[in-house]
Amino acid sequence: MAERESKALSGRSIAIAGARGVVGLIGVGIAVASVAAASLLPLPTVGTGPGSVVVTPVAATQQRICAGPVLRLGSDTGQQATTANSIGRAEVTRAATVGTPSLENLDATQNEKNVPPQRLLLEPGETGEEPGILAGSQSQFVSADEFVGFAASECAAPSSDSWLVGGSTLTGRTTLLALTNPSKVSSTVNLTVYSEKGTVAASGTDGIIVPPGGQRVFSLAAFAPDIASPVVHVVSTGGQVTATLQQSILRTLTPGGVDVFGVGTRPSRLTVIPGVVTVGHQSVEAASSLGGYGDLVGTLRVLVPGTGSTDVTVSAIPEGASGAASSSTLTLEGGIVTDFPLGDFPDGTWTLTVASERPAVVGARSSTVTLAGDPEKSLASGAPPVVVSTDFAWFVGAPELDGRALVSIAPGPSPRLHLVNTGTESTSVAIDPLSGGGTTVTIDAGAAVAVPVAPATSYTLSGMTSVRASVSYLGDGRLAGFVVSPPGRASQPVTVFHQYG
Amino acid sequence: MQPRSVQPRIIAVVVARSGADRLQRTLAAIAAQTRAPDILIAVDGSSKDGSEALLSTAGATHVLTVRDGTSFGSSVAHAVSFAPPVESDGEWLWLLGHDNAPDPDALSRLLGAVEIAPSVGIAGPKLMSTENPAVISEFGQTISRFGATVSLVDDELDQAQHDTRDDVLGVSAAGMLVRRSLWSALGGFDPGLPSIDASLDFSIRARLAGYRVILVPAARVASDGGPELFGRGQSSAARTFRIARAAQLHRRLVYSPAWAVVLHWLSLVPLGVVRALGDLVGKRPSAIGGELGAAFSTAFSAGIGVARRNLKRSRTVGWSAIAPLRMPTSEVRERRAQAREAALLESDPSNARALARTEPRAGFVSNGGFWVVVLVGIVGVLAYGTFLGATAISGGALRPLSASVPALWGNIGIGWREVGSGVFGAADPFAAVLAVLGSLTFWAPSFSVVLVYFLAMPLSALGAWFAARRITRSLWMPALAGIVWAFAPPLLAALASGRLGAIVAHILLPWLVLASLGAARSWASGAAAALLFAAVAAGAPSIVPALLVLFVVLLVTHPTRIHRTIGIPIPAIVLFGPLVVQQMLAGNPLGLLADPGVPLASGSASGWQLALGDATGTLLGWPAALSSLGIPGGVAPVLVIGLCAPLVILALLALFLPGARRAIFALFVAFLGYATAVLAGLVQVGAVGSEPMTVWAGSGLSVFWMGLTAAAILAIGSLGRAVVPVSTLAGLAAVALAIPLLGAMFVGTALIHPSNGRILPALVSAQAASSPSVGTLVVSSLGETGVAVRLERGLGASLDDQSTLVSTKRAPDALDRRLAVLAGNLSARSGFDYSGELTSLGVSFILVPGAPDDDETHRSLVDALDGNESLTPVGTTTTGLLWRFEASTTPPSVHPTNTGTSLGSWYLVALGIVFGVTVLLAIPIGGRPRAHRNPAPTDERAETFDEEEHG
Repeated sequence: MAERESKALSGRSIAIAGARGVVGLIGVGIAVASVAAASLLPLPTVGTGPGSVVVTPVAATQQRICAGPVLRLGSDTGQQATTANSIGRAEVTRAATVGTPSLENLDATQNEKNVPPQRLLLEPGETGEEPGILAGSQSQFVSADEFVGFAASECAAPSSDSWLVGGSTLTGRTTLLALTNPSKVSSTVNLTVYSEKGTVAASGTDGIIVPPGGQRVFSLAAFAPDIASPVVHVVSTGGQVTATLQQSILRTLTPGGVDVFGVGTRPSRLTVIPGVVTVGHQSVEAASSLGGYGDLVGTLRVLVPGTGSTDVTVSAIPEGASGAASSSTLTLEGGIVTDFPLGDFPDGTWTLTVASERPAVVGARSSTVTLAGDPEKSLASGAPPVVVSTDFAWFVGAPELDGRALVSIAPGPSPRLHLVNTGTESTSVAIDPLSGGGTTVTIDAGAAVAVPVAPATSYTLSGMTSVRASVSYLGDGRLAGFVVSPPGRASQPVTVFHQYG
Repeated sequence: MQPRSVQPRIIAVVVARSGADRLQRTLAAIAAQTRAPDILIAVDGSSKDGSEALLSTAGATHVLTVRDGTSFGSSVAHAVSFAPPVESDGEWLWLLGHDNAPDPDALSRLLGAVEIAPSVGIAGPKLMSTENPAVISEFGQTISRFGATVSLVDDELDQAQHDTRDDVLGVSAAGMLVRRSLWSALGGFDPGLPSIDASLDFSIRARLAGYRVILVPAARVASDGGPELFGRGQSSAARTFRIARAAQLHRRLVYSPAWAVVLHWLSLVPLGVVRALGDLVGKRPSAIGGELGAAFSTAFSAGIGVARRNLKRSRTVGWSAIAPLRMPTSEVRERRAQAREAALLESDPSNARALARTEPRAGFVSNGGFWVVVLVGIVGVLAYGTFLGATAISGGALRPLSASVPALWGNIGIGWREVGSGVFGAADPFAAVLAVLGSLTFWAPSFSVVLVYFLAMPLSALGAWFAARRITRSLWMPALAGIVWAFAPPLLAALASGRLGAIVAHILLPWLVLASLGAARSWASGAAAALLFAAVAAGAPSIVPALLVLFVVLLVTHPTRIHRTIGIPIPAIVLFGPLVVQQMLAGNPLGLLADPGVPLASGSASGWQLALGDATGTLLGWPAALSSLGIPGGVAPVLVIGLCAPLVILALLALFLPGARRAIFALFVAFLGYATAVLAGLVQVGAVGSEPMTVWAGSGLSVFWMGLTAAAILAIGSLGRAVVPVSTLAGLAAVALAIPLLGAMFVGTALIHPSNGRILPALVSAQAASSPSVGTLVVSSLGETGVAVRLERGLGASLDDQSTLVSTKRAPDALDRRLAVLAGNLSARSGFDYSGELTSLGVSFILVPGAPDDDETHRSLVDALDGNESLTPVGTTTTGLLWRFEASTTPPSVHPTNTGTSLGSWYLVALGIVFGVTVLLAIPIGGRPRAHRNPAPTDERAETFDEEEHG
């Protein structure tokens, strides 16, 4: 009896254990199956996505501010050394893809007698019409006392945050900072000057008021005297300003050239300077041995804002040849401006690219020098070369162009349009003068080309992706360049999303 | 001389109402009396079972028929009118119902007692239970000082313990022997008292007329029960209560002095309402209908006046004469206490079982519950120490609350929702939770959210501890459950992103489980479960479907207790009702699932990440934490799976161990939670800027984690000697898993930050003080995608202002489009007419929240606003850059508040009643645990948790 009971019991417990095992396995199976199904099955989503409205802002009058004539501090008699006076007049070439741009003087300068900077205005077209692109550039050759040289710059859109890379406040080097406020509200500007010694502590750099429609001109030496490598960061609140630097060189009593240049790209991890012209490097080499002529040698100026060291890779791409870039890597300290000599570059036009882990601002300077006689002979003879004339130019980082752009070529000697493809695929750029006729160039990825253009003409660039462009002028004792900016943001549609809460 | 003249004449009146089975015995007993009544008058109350035939063969002098429903008193009165004319003063009426079979000597004993005392007007026999003749059914009545009826003896075994009584205030009508002259003088029973208290009232009036009322213990008459049962066999508790209450009120109005009648009359209905609320608190919901019904029927009863005149006519002595016969208040109280105690001890087998249980239960202090809560509390304070001294928290889905308690309560119900472009409609149910929460710290409502942050973890541990004790006998498992639940990833993720609703739901879930399991036996538990369900549903609407499935399971597994559990969703239904209707009408039922609070996009987690408790797809912050330590991020999934493994494996192991049925249920809960989380990630209820806003999967994961935790502790409880190492491992893994989420405040991955309580810059707040509808346009950059725009009015939309009705809007309305056009034009230089549009929208400020330095859209936005001559830059504020527009005037907004429409007002009234009633019911006092009618065999294994214990 007891035996039978225990048998029955054990049989029953086996059955229970078996049942538990089955239940457990089923449970584990369901668990695995649900997680697998949730992970692997393409489950559909339901409901509404983000609701947005694309708003095309009502077109506004577009404007570009041209730097205006070359300036000097003090009158030609040397009086009023804190007041800027203009020298001559710059020639402006302007164009628009739709409509006709008008040119007008800005209201106020510091001196009523002066020739004021000018602005280009393009009234909006009809509602619904594709907004036009406005472009303009100015050039000026001066030959007055210590100012001898050729300067060209693009008429720029105002901005609240600009970096100016270039200039010098060493002996004989004069750098003027011009701040122009074309808006109808007053602008408060804060300056930060960086140098080879780090950030320059100076009074008067904060809270500079630029009145509506006005221009303020400062000598950079007033903030940062005796600086070889300044970089100026201009931040404005209120109305936006355009900032330009004008550098002139006087070597003892010999004028060494003038350049007016504007804003390049903002700090970025990849800065591209197309169309850096090096010419007559033997002459430059010969002349640079003379006292005070050291800054004839080409220079690349790099600043990584912030602190800490950063690796920077500099590459040079020659125009025409694809992929034959040379590059070197350097380690830079943040917040300190570094100048690299570009002395051993052969003659030609180069695209300089600076890639860094942290965003950097970059500029490059190049010079042209005309010597009396044959430079090779004078080098060989060992006799000191006789400099007839020099000029220099600052080249700045060019912004990326996609789709469409407009460039106006101000008058000047043998202007060329430099195009570099920084994308990963080859691209074609249609270069069409507004007057008609045109060419199309195809640029391989990473390659740079130069296209001769006619002065006082405007061209539309279209069809390109990831292209950066600049314009250079080169003549006897005349060197200048400027970058080509993309169409203004003002007329681009904005996607507006709603937030409820 | 003649014996007949010496012998008093007895007129027996037998009233029958459908009681044929009893009647036969009663008639036989009357016939067998040693002193037979002289005249027998039978009254039939339109019986349907042959009673009339029985009566007609009983040898009655008269057999009368009265209408069905005629009261006992009226039937007797009818009979007396057919009796022969009065011959002498010594005539007596003997009143019997069909169930009142007298002992053979009953009448002679009664007569014996009255004959020796001429002052006696009424004599009552000892009423014995028909079913059990050894038990006294009733033996004399009296009233308390306040006029409540007190039965002197109720269902007591007859051991002659009451045989010493003689003078009483009242006796039952059954077997009553009453002087015929007295009957006539008093006008019989009061027609205003159809059953209960009729004989008591009659006796009192006899006393007031100067007669004595006595009990005759030696005379025994059978009885089936109280007068309300006469002719019915049984009566519901509610009906009995209503009759008794109506009778009491009727007597009160009749007995009170003339000057007090009006006061009593006026107090009838208010007192009825107050007593009904008391019934709620006392867990006697069945009495509420009777309470109110009795109050109304008495208030409009015509019988009061008649009865008062009748009393006045017959009364010869003052009320003080009967005062000694009333029961003193102290004795009444003592009798009630004894009754309660007896009910508790004798009638509830679960108590007996609880006493008999030898196995110990985990003690809160002795078994670690207290220490777990304290330690988790310390961790909570450390983790959110940033908020020490803060008065409000902002960021993520959080915003400060409205600054005042009235404003908080003004945001519940149906009214204007001042958020976004505004809409008239139903508030989020969570607004009511916020109103309650904010009222706790009424001096600074937003501070309550800070407290929630500090207390979220310990409160979760506390709830889990008690809930776990309910499902396991193991002493230390509740402590483990507390730890696992307090460190649950969904809770910490919700804390880090400011999802207050999900936090509240997580804290309350264990309490909801606890209350729901108790709901079958206790009204208080059921009501508490209903309140908790409403709060959890309001905080996390996405888990409502899962909770409803579990609710149906609860109903199905306890079909006999359905009356207590079926009402659990009612407060939630009332709370959600208007929103449900409005979203349904808008064709947007999915919008009901949207989480309350500031709209916030949540990352999308894949199925396996959800299974690890990860609601956001960031692997609980482990990849970021590891990479900051220099460990490759690829280790993170392995590590997280490893740390989750103990809990998951234990939970699944429970299926293989004894007690698997409960584990199956726990894992079913986990499955529901997981399914909820997976589906939540697929439901887009709206958008936050350019990102789709899906339902927060974390709430579903809370349910999932609850099921896993329950299954795991069930498994560990069955492990025997391996308990200590396994539970230590599981606890440590659960804590380790949470480390990156706990550190979220310190490494900056948390979206929340201390706030000064302001939503908009101080300048705007100052302006809003004078013009409450001042508009602020908030335009923020979304990087390359575009800009986002929203409109704030006054101080800005607080957390309680948020509305899922607005955030789940399916298409932008006209105002939204206007705002978009305005923002689009403001974000670039434009020829748009700003002034006109800003003025017409009443916008005086434009705020641009901060953005990363390299955000071109932000820069362009700021530049465009800076260069706009219509705007004055104010500068940088804590919330971003601010511009001012000198609008001529701000149009005053006239929007209905939650009491501004009749619909809104009525809804608030309904909400107040439902929640008021539920809260009163939920107060755990009064009432008594319901007796188990049929105690289940104790060793029966249960299907769900609650059968583990019936305590």
